[in-house]
Amino acid sequence: VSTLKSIIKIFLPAFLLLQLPVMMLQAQQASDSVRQIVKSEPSETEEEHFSFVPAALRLGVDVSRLTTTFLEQDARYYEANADLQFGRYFLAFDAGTGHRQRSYSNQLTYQVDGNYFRLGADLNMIPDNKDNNVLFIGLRYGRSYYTEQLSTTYSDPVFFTSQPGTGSFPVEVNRPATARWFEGVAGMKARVWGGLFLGYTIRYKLGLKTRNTGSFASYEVPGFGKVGDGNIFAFNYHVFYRIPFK
Amino acid sequence: MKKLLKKNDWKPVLIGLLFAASLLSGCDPEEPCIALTTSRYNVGFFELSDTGTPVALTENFDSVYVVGSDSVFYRRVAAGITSLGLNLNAASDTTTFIFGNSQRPTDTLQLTYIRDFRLISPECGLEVRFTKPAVVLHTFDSVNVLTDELSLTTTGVDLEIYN
Repeated sequence: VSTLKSIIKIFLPAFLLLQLPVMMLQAQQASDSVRQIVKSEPSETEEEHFSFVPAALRLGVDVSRLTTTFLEQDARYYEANADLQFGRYFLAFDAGTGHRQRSYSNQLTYQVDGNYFRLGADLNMIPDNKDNNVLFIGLRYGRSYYTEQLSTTYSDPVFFTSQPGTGSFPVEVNRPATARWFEGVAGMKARVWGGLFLGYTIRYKLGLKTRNTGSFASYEVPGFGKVGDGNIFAFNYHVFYRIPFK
Repeated sequence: MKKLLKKNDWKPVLIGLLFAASLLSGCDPEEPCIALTTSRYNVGFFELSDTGTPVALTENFDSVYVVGSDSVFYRRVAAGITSLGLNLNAASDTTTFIFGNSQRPTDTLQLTYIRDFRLISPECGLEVRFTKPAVVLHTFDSVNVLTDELSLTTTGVDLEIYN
């Protein structure tokens, strides 16, 4: 039941969010085709599939991260996103910071603080559209620099005794660590008004490698999320502003 | 529909829906309390046959306990045993087991290992991963470590003891 709840919690909002830019894009494409039938003017992006001169810079923020910050009292996540357009290709860069503290009935306190970035490239699958909408696939390399703190007591399920050195004992962790990972991404960015775009990114994160973790395996890596088995799906919603260079 | 698209009436509604849905997407799913590791070390007792192949050996230990602990892992009731599950001590990187036997001198087995702590979730607490076990000291004829990491998914013998 808890797994089903988790699936519903993740996929229902994701499904709703996915529909919004799709609807906007469909609406814009319908408007474009009406306009093109009337005026038959060539698209400004036609036959410009690659250029060494950047055409535009798109700057944005991750709204889903801000939402977590708003909803959870002990969590602060901020992420900025940018992409530089070279024809139908984009150089993508994300940078963020994360802080989260979690505790459980005075028996355990866990905290993670850190900064991260992602660097990669996207390919626009619909380059020829007047509104500069983007339906993309791409790859990312991510790196995180973070500190984890843990304070708890470990109760051994077998060695129950009052003698020193056995049974329950305190576990205290406070150490910096680094991590790197890769992402396969897909998503879209749809123009809503002027230079304002809404978009989402679906990420499959894999190949997580943590370093300098000592005897405590990382629980959460800023930018990657909960470590688990090192492979996770994630979803981000963005608001962008596009600044054209020509 | 065309009228709706031209007037862009749908935009404020969609933007409102976006923020409502993004509020939902900020929620964290519940984490299941699933442990992946165990401290149980499966020991099998063997002897070599005339042809040199290992065969199971029935041992008649009176008790098996750990130095510095109240935990007794085995106390003989009737028949002997050919295998035994021993738990490693998470509070130390070494555990010493004493095999009591009224028929012959007491045997000792001291194991060392690496401990890694993993937070399952704040609600579920920690679990300990035991890796790279090695025998530091023993009084048996010979011992043979077979497993590099203790796991819930493996059920075979982790350590062979020849006597």
